[in-house]
Amino acid sequence: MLAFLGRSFVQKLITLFFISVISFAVIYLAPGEPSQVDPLNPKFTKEVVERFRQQFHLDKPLHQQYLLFYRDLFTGKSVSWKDGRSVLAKIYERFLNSLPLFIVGTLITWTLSFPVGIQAAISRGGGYDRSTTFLAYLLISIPGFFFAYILIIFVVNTFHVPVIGMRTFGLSGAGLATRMMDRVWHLLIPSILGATAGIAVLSRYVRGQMLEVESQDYVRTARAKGLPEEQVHYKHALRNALLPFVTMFGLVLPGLIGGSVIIESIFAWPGIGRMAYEAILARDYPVIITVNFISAILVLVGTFLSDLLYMVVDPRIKL
Amino acid sequence: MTPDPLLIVKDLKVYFDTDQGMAKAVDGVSFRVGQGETVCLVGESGCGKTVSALSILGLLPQPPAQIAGGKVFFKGRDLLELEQKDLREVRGREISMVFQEPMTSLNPVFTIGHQIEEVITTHEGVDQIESRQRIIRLLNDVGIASPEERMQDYPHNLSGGQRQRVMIAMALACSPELIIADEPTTALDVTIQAQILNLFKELQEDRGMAILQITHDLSVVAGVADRIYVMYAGIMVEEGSVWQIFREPCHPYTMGLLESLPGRRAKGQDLATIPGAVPDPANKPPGCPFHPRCRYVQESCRVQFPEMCDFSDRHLARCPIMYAKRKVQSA
Ligand SMILES: Nc1ncnc2c1ncn2[C@@H]1O[C@H](COP(=O)(O)OP(=O)(O)OP(=O)(O)O)[C@@H](O)[C@H]1O
Ligand SMILES: [Mg+2]
Repeated sequence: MLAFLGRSFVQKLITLFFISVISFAVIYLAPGEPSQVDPLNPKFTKEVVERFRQQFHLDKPLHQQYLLFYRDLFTGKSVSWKDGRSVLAKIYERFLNSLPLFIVGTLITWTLSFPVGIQAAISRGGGYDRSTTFLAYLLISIPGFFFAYILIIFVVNTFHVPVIGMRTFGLSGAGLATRMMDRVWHLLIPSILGATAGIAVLSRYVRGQMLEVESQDYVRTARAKGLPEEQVHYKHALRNALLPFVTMFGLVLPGLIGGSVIIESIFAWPGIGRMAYEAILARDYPVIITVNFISAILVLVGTFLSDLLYMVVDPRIKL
Repeated sequence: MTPDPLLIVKDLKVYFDTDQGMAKAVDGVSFRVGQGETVCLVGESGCGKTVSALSILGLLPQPPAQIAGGKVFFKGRDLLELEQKDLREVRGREISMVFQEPMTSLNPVFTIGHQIEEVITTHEGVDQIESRQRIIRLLNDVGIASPEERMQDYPHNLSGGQRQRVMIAMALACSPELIIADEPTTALDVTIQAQILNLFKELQEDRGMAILQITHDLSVVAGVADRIYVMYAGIMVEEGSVWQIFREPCHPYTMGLLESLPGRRAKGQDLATIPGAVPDPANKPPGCPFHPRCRYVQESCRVQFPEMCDFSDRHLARCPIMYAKRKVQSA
């Protein structure tokens, strides 16, 4: 067990090193230049450009830039090229904005997908199964932005509440309850929207998994023992059907920082996904690479947690 | 004196609606099992043994299966007519099953102790301490060493033979009157096979339950069976005592089966085989389903579905041709 932990940790460190090199190289070697050092930028004179190049270490060889970049990152000194603010502070601020969206969205996705998928599998071929299948494919195939506008129009027209942004401006004088409700509305619509595609896909996956397990010999054994159907489905079958989702659960973690660029853009939500997107457009290298690096860490931590969880839920796996 | 049979299966028909058409996997099967008897159902792979066994306890998923007809009387009640709730009380308590594949028949995520316990707690209001003692006793009875420790094990810790012993312990847990053993030894090594068959024999001597042994191997049944039923392509072709079947088989299929047993031929000679293959259940030949492979085939076999003929005392076979032959010989 300890050996596994140690081995796994070392492996992940090595992986992380390669990720750091590759993500650095990809961003720095990609065509295009940050606007501050773009020779075609009419706003800056030659001297100013040269000063920026020195300040950003762009005049050094690539491997030195790499070392300088990660030195700054680990000492917390790396700053955005766009506004000179600390990258970590920027990310943290946006992260706090994205967090509620992520939590509510994930909760909605996971709490709805499982009951829907399981029920569909149990009533295989029945009316419930057919209608959820239809709905799932509908939700998968409908474009997210289109569905978003329909949802926004519907909510605004029906409930007469604004839903764009994180809150309505000019409400600071209103009572606590009004402000709370305002925040809830603003949070709920993008969360639901972010969850729909997830529910459609995940519930299909749950259904497939459950169907496969339902045809296993041990489910027949459970029935032959005289157990009630609920125990056959929700204990003997479900326990086994859930195993693969433990792996998926670990992979949810990176969503914390990836967020959804599309949803955040549509709803003018100042989240981390949108910040990363804007950083790419502005070629703000420190922000892009740092977001990348943190995502990589989250992926590795997520897979590590999955491995640990798997060991807890599947007695066949001993590490 | 023969007591009322425990189980009477009468003209059972189970069809599968498949892409190739209606597969008549079981098409009119009748047999009975008396109290404390060991009855064997023998037949080639695919002849419908498992389907028959599963239908008794309503364990076939419907669809694709459909019970097209027949009755299954257990102690006077027709199991096919029972409500789900009543059927559940029969399963595991009055009739239990041991399956063909010990490797996959136990749930991988629960300890074997727990899986046995479930049977006990489902059917009887027994407290933890008592059920624990009972599990230990059961594991002991089926020959598992140090049962206290083994009951904490998960199935993957056990070998195939041990898992089948656990399955048997589970089947015995509520002292059922009938155990259906569907090829319990097919997936096991030859030495383990003998051990498991002996175990069934011992358990039956101790407890006196009836056993329906299903197998494709006639040599397996010789030592244990009271009565043998031979199935072919979803129908019963011959039934009789062990002695009758082995000494004077009446159906050409049974004769073929016996000739193909190793040890029935002189050394060095090739084993006899029955030419041809089992017909596809969705596309059975007309008349007698065995006629394309039968060496005694006559014109009438190709068109006329044969009746069961009474050869001697409780010895029946579905072959009028042989029946006529024997009549002539004895006359
Ligand atoms: N779910 C199913 N759908 C369609 N056909 C089926 C299904 N289950 C069984 N059958 C058919 O029913 C026939 C009988 O199968 P069964 O499993 O009873 O054979 P068996 O005598 O137990 O053979 P074995 O010795 O291999 O266990 C087979 O021909 C099979 O193709
Ligand atoms: Mg079978």
